[in-house]
Amino acid sequence: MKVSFYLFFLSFGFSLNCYGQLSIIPTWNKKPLELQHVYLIHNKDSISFSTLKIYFSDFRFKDKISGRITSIDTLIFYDLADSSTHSFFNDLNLSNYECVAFTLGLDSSKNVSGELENAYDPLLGMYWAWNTGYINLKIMGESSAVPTNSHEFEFHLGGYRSPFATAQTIQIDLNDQYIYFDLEKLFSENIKLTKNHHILMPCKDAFLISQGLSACFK
Amino acid sequence: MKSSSFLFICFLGFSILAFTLKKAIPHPFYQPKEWPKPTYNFKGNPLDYEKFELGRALFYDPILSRDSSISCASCHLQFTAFAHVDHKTSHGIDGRVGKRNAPGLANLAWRKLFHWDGGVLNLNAQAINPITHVDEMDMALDSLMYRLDRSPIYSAAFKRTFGTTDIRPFHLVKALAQFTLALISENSKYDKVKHGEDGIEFTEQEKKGLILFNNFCSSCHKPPFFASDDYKSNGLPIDPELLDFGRMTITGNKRDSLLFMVPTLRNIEYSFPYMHDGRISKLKDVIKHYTLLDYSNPLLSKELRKNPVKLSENEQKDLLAFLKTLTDKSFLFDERFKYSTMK
Repeated sequence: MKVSFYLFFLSFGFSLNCYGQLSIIPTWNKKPLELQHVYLIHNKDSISFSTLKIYFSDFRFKDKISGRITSIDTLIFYDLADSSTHSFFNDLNLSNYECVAFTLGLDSSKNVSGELENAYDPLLGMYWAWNTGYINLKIMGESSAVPTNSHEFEFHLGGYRSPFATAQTIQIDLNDQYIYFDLEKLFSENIKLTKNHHILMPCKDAFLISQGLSACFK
Repeated sequence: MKSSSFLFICFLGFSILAFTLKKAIPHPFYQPKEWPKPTYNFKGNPLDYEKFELGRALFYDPILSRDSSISCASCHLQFTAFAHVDHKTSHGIDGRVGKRNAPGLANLAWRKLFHWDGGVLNLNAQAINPITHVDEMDMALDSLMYRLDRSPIYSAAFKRTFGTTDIRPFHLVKALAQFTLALISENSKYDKVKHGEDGIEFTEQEKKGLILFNNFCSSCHKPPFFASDDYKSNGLPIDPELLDFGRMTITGNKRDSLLFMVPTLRNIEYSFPYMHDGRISKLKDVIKHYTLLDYSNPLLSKELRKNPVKLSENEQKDLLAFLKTLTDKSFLFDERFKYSTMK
């Protein structure tokens, strides 16, 4: 009921306003993902999420008519637990654009900028103090597939140094104002929780999982 | 004019004058002659004397640690060149012992990389590491912001200096950087001789030591900082208990195994013990270490392999005498950098 209402609300909102407010919608089985809700992986193992935080940057919008690219090189912080972070670019006329490309994460220059303000604030829980840099994507939760007593999983995917640079360029068509992030696909195809359930630093596994993220956005 | 009005105008005038004079105190940072431009981005944190004083008070205040027992100065004492004596490696709250020897702090505005492994890439971000590190201050940043906000003294100080009632980590680290940027050491005997100050000359032994330094040491410990933003193997084997692999911890690259920062030699006489894990306590033994190295070791830095340090006993003494000319007592006892609290 809650999900249906949410989808109705989104549709209603879109019909009223096709301008601005690009929104990120994490999904599971084509429905908006909810924290602490229990889902099934392959109709077998349970999974629930406690944290989903993402950095987006370097947005480039392609104009439908002229093909001109409008670049917005800002850092966007998304936190599923904080609805104020779910939508952005309020003043943009999205109906003018055919597609958008963006970076999931931060490039090396943003990682080492020493900015620390606004979206860079370490209080957001995405800053690695020991290794100057930021987590691109933080996903945490529990799953019966994790073969430990706590069944917890933690994915802190980040790193900007070769050979484990994890920021990903993603391009999607702009059919509406929503960017959908399919976590069911991520946990069904990219992440095998039986083998890999804790990544807390830049490494080969973080790199490999990050490479599959593009296919999870549409 | 009524006398009460006159007194009020006088009071107002003196208040404005006092405020202006207070604002006019210059920040201690300066650009030494013949030194390159700093790498620090001053545009993002313009020099401000009041912020310097706030940073100085924070540097000496254990409020930054979880149990309010450890301050920055606990491991960075002024009279030992802002390094840590007494212990090989620094210690944190609850008697926890870290893996590394706290390095001296000087001339940080010119550094590009921080910490023995270069994991931190700018001075602002540097302070977050020891504050949050479990073996050092072990303080969660959100708890620290709450603590500072609840402190009448600090909430007033941040409001006065940064114009904020919402203290964030970037305010804290910028205030600390205002203090650490000011830690400039360039008034040693070496500097005075170089600048041709009247009546100051090297002794014969120091002159010999300078020649040896230029032959064997300066390719890594480059003047005027007597350091470099680079990571080298100095031939020390891994400590089997600490298992500190240095730069490799950051890059994940095996080629970076056992590479550590090239530290400054300024004030080296006072910043004992030496090396990344403090395993050598005397400076003369550091010099001896280089004379006893296995120079066929392919992991040794290329500078050492190309030019092995061959020094007689007397030459070792000469080099030691030169290194002592890098001591800057005006820095070690500068009143502006001493313990202070926020008023």
